[in-house]
Amino acid sequence: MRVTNNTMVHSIVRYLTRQNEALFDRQNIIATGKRINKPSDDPLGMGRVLDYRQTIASMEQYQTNIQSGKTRLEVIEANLDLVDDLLQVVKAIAQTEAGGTTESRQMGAENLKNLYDQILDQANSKLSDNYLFSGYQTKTAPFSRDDTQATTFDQFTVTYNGDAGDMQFIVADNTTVTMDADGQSIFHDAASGGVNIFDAMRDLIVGLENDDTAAISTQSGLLEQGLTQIRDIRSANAPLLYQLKTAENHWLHYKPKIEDLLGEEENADITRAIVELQSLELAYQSTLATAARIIQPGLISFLK
Amino acid sequence: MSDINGILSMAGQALITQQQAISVTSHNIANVNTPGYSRQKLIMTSNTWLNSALGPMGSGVSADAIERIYDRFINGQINNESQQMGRWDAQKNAVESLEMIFNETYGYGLNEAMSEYWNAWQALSNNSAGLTERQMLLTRGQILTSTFNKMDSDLSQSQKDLDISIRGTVTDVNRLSEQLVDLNQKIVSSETGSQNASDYRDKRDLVLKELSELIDINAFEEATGAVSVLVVNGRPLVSGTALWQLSTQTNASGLQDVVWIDDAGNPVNISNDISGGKLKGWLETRDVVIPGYMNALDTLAQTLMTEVNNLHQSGFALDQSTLHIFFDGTGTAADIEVNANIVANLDLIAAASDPLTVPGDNRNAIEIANLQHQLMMSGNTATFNDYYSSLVRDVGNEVLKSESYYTHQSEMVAQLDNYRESVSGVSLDEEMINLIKFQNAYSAAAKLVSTADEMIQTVLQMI
Repeated sequence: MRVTNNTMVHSIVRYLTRQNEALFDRQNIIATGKRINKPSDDPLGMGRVLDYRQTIASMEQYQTNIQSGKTRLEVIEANLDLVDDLLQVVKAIAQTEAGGTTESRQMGAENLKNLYDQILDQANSKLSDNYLFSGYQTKTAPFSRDDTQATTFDQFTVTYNGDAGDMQFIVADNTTVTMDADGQSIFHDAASGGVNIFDAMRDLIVGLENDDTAAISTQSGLLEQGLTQIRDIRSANAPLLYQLKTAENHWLHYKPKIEDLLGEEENADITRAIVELQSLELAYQSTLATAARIIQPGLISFLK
Repeated sequence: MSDINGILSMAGQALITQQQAISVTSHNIANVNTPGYSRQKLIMTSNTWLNSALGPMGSGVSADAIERIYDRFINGQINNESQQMGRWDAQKNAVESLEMIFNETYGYGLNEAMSEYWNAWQALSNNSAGLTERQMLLTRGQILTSTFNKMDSDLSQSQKDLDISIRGTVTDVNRLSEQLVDLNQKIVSSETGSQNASDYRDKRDLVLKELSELIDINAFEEATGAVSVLVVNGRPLVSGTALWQLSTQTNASGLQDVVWIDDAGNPVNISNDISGGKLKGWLETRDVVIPGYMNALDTLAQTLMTEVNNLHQSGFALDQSTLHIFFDGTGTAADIEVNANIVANLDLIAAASDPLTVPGDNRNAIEIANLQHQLMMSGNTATFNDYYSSLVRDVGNEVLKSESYYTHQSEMVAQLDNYRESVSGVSLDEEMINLIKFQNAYSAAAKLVSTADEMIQTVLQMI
């Protein structure tokens, strides 16, 4: 083939352009540390990168949800634990006063009035401005004492203002953990065969005030059942906490794996990129050197 | 002619001929870097001999013609391949700029906006009456809709940019056609004898090559030496010195269609028939590739809007009202937005699924959050995120495809250019050798003159 000056010049320009492109690519990879800098670098890989990122974002949200769920369970547990303790004190007073004198019964009744208020307070606990035990009616105090017109303690009643709602937390794709939030079934359950703790306490106080031994023993028995009712709820919450912790552990272990996959997909193998860069550099320099030697001389340089 | 005068006249003709050869060589050297130049060669022939008693006696040299070294088939091939190279060059550049719209390598794209929107619903489910959560959901919703709007407007901006390129290219085609007519005229008038208008022909070949990078043409030379050019479907652009124009006209989508103006001055739409050159690349990107992406975004925006709204309308706001939509718009990526009522009143976000269970009921929020994982797209086979990922994959593949077609075509054209160069290109080494050859011949012819002169002197001294 007849090779002219222009053939050579054009070829050299083409080779150098191509090598510059490859050098630029490697430089980009090394500078960004990423193998995929635009979708066309690896369309399939880019698709997977987006999927992994979305999965990671979801997992982070699940972890937040689980944390909220755990906090709620722990606060409920702390509240019910206190109620449990308070009820045990109530029970102890009832048992002591079963054989007590009229005066000591009066004193017991006064003590119990304080405990009554404390338990009512606990039943109206809030977590970040939401009532814990009023079902879906989180902005309504679940229990109110209708004592505005009451002149004596025996007229006190407590009304449940909440509903039977529960609280769900999303812990995984399409999976929720449901927590009981119905205060009625915990404190005020006379309707469905349980104990209305507030009524039982009121009747116990009235019994003590009236020196009525039979009533004291009846209400003491009811409060014993009330305590069991609280403990049943607490033991029902235990597996939920376990469920949340399991889910949390799952994401804790799963997330680094997805992050690894993401890294493998999009991060550059820097060592390899540098080695490639070096070999490209060598090729580039050789082309330049060759070009310099080929382009310059012509017959003209040898003619006198 | 064997007399001394004969020798002198042969020497004179040789001087002239070698000088012409040197002149052709210098033309070649001067044009070594002229694009499209074909090297030229002086054709020398020996003059007719004279019969003498000794037999035929030579009578020197004369120049016959200046020939253009040229392979007519190669230019046709180069033009064909240039059409495809032009097409993929234009398409590659256009889709590379589209790729930036979908580039989410560093986050902050639709994928992330969607993820965050779903997460905001989950966050709301943790505290369904929370003002902070509602505010965040609104913000995420607005980021999502404005991302849709931005991508859509970027895509239509690209369409408009391509429109400008298309109009500019049509002007270029007309300019090149005019040049062809002009060159045709010059070639026909200067080639009346056996003359060869080499330099005009080189220029014309170059114009044809430029033209075929812009649009697919079919060019052939007529007996007169003029070239005729047909564009799509055999419509003439140039025939001898007659000229037809291309123009543009606004179509239903407000973009420019390419039209060919017929003899009666009526425009004929040829947009869909153009199959090569930059025009094809730009038209293809503007009318097929970009609308494809826009449709995909619209489908995504519309399905997202419908599904979220369906659930949201069945839910209940904090004030127990219902039937509020979350997203407003006509179901396109261009105008999707968060319902203005919700923007004005965050209480209208419907997290509850019953009027009696507000504010603590988060069941509707959970249902909406769960949409993220449901197969809502592509005939219930893909999630929203899957659908978008595959769109990004398509964009990447389109760029890869255009790049590899372009690389292939430009290699092809480079090879053909090399081949053309090997036939028609000027080699300085070769020209130097020729120069020395002709110079030596010129010196030798001069020597002949002085020898003849000496011979005449010798004869004169005999008197």
